Amino acid sequence: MTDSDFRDAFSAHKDVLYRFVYRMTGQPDGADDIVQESFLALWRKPSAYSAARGTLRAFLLGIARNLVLKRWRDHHPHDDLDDECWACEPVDLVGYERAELVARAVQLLPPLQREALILAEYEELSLGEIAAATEAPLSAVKSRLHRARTNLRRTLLPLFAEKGLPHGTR
Amino acid sequence: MEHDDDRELRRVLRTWHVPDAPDSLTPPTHVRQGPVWRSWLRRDIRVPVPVALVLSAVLLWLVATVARDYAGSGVEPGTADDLRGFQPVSAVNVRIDRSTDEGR
Repeated sequence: MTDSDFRDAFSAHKDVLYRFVYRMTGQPDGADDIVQESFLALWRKPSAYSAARGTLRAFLLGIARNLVLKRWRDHHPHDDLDDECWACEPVDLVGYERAELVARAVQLLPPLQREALILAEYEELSLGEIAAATEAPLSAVKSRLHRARTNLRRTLLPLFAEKGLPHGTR
Repeated sequence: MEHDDDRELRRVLRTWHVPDAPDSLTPPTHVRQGPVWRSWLRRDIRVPVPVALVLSAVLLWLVATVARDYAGSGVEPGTADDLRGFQPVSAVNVRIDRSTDEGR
C-alpha cells in the first residue's frame, strides 16, 4: 500500500470509524486514539487486509471494534459481551433531551448487540458487512440485531408513547 | 406491524447525532514501516502452556546435564587436586638400580 493509497483510505473511512467508536463508547474521549490505532494497524501490516474477505471499511471497523471491546473488557472483566437474557426497564424521560435518551439506551445494550445496531442503523452496513467486521456468522448478526431492536423498543417505550412531541425536545 | 415498529424505532434512533472525525485527526503516516529486522524483534509467537512447560522442563534437563558433565570433567584425573582413579599398590617391591653408578 502506497502512501497515497493509505491517505485515500484514511479520508474515506475515518469518519465512519470515528462515529462508530464514539457511539460504541458513548464519548468522544479516546475515539481519536482508537481510530488512529486502527489505521496504524493497516499502515504497519497492509497485507492483513484481503479484498476477498470483505470491504476495507468492514476490515477497519473490525479492527476498531476489537480495540473498543478490549477496552470494555478491561473495565468490565466479569461481564458478558452479549447477555442474551439482558433486558432493561424503560428509561426515565425526565430531565433528558430525546437524543440523550437514545444515546443512553444504546449504551445500555450489551456490546455485541450495540455494535450490530450501530453498524446497521447508523452506518447502514449490510448484514454481510457487519458479519465481516465482527467476524461473526450471519445468523448471529441477525439474532443480535433482533435482540438489540427488541431491547431498545422496550427501553425507549416512553418515546414511542409521546408521538405528539416535536423531535429533539423534552 | 413489525415493519412500522422498525420504522418508528429508526426514526427515534436517528435523533442521536454524533460529529464526524475532527480535523485534528490526521493519517498516522509519520510512523514509518521500519526495516525487516526491527519487525522481527517486535514479533511474538503464541505457545500453549503445556508445550511451554514441556519445553522449559527439557531445557532445564539439558542445562543440568551439561552442567554436571562440565563439573565432572573440570579437573584432569591424576593431578594433585583429584585422587579419583588412584589405585594403591598391594605390595611395595623396591629395586635399586645401580647400573648408572657402576658405569662411572
